[in-house]
Amino acid sequence: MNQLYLYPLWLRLWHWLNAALFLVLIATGVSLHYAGPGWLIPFSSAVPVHNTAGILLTLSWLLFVIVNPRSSNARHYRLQLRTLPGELWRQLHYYLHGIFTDAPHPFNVSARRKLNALQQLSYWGALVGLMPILILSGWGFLLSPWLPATLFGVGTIWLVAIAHLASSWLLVLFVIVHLYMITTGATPWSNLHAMLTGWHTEP
Amino acid sequence: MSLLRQSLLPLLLTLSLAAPIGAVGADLAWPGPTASLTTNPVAAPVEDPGVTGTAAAAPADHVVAGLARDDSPACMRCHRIVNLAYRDQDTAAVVDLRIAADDYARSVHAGLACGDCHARGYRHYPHRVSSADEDLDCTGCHREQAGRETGGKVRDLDSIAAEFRQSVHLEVAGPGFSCDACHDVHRFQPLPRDVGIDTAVRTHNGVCLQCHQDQTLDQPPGHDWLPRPERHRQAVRCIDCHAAPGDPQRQYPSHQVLPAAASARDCVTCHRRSSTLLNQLYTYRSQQALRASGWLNQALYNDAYIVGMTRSPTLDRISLIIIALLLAGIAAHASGRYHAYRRQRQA
Ligand code: HEM
Repeated sequence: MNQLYLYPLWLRLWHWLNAALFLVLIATGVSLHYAGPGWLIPFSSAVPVHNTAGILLTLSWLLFVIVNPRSSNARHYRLQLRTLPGELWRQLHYYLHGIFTDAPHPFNVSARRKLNALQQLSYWGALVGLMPILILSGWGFLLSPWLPATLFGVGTIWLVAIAHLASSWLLVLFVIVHLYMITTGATPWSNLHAMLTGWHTEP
Repeated sequence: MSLLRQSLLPLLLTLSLAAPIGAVGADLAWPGPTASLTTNPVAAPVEDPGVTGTAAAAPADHVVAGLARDDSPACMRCHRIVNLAYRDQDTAAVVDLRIAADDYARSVHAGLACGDCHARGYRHYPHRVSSADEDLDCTGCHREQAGRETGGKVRDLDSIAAEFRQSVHLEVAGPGFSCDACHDVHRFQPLPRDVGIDTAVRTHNGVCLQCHQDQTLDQPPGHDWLPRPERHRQAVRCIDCHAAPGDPQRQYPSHQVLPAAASARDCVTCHRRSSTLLNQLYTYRSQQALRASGWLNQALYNDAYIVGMTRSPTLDRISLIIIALLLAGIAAHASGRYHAYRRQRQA
């Protein structure tokens, strides 16, 4: 049995706040998009909840991009460009094949590196690729009276709406895959346990 | 026109006192329909929209002849006078009795002589009160002529009449309200196809505004919910919201005018059709909210959010299908893992 403390408290707090905000944003966002009668959250309550959660998500995101690079957690996000393609391939091959044949995990978690190449890339993609688009377009709605009426010949709000819709949809895909991938640790629960307690446990 | 028919009456056929006398003399030299046609080719914005199908080219010769035929020249001796009118006893309204020869010669009815429609009792002068009670039957005549004619020039009005019978106009104004309440048959002319949208809109709305004059006020009654009413009036036809959606294949709008409560009020229906329109609506609503509640509230209660703005049924379906496929893939992967795990435990 080998134990490593990999998820400091601030990171866990950030992560679960982030996750909670996402769930709220998805539920209310879906209600806004498909607004109408049915099982959806009523429009009038979905609007303030969605907007409040969006503003909180902005703060939480800013906090993460300010704190994380300065913390000990930063090393886990450093990409090894030289070995990245090979590592990615081994990781993908494991999830598509090795995982069914009881092959060993191709990546060993250590104090210096807890995230495999696939995790690194998807977290970079979500946090630095999609979240800024999501957040900026969200604020675009809120600040629409101050935006120019058209941008590149199209109504600005329409562009804002499309950016918001596309980035949120991609992030929903990310969350779905993320939720499943956390079950692919040593046991289905070991990653969740690590994110809750901070301790990564190797059997 | 319907006033004319209902209450022609004490045929005080006089030159309206209000009109400038000089005009009378000036108008006496009526050039006759043919001459007027050559000097005034069809061009001016039409007063009255009709079907937009056939562009109003210069009428064929036989069509021009109406005012020159039968008794028409005799009628026109008086009815060409610019300020021929009388004051209706009951309503005190001044009723215009002038037939503008130029307009008539350009109209779709140019081929008809006066007596083709106004058949009875006009020999006497002053005309008898009862003469005005003639029952002009637009649909009957059109049906008959459409049956006889093959060129498609005369249109059967029955489908329009069927819509009109459900119109709120008929319900509210009663049977006195008929075709001529809106369409001046003496000028009626198709709206040429190549007129700009603004002209088409102006012409169409002109028909409604003849009666609904209060709709040109700064705050048109019933439209207090509508931003920038004057801009809307210039850009869309009243009937776009106020008539039942007609058959899109047809070139004339539905004549089933709706009551206010049933008229379209859904901004998004129009505004999602183009992103610039959408933007205008969104920004307008944001500004309203901002003015009413300040920026924090505007940010939190951003009421301007336009439901359905980004909703395309196709995109919605595709995006949900992709999510469903992803979930199915995950389920398959998970069950593969579970089976692998079972095999391993058995081994
Ligand atoms: C209810 C939803 C969620 C659950 C149950 C969940 C669970 C987990 C677990 C168990 C881990 C540890 C495994 C690992 O490091 O890969 C993790 C890490 C992570 N999750 Fe989530 N997550 C959720 C939602 C989200 C969302 C919405 C985001 C961001 C958009 C997110 C971003 C991350 C990131 C960036 C890490 C790595 C953090 C680090 O170690 O630096 N998660 N999550």
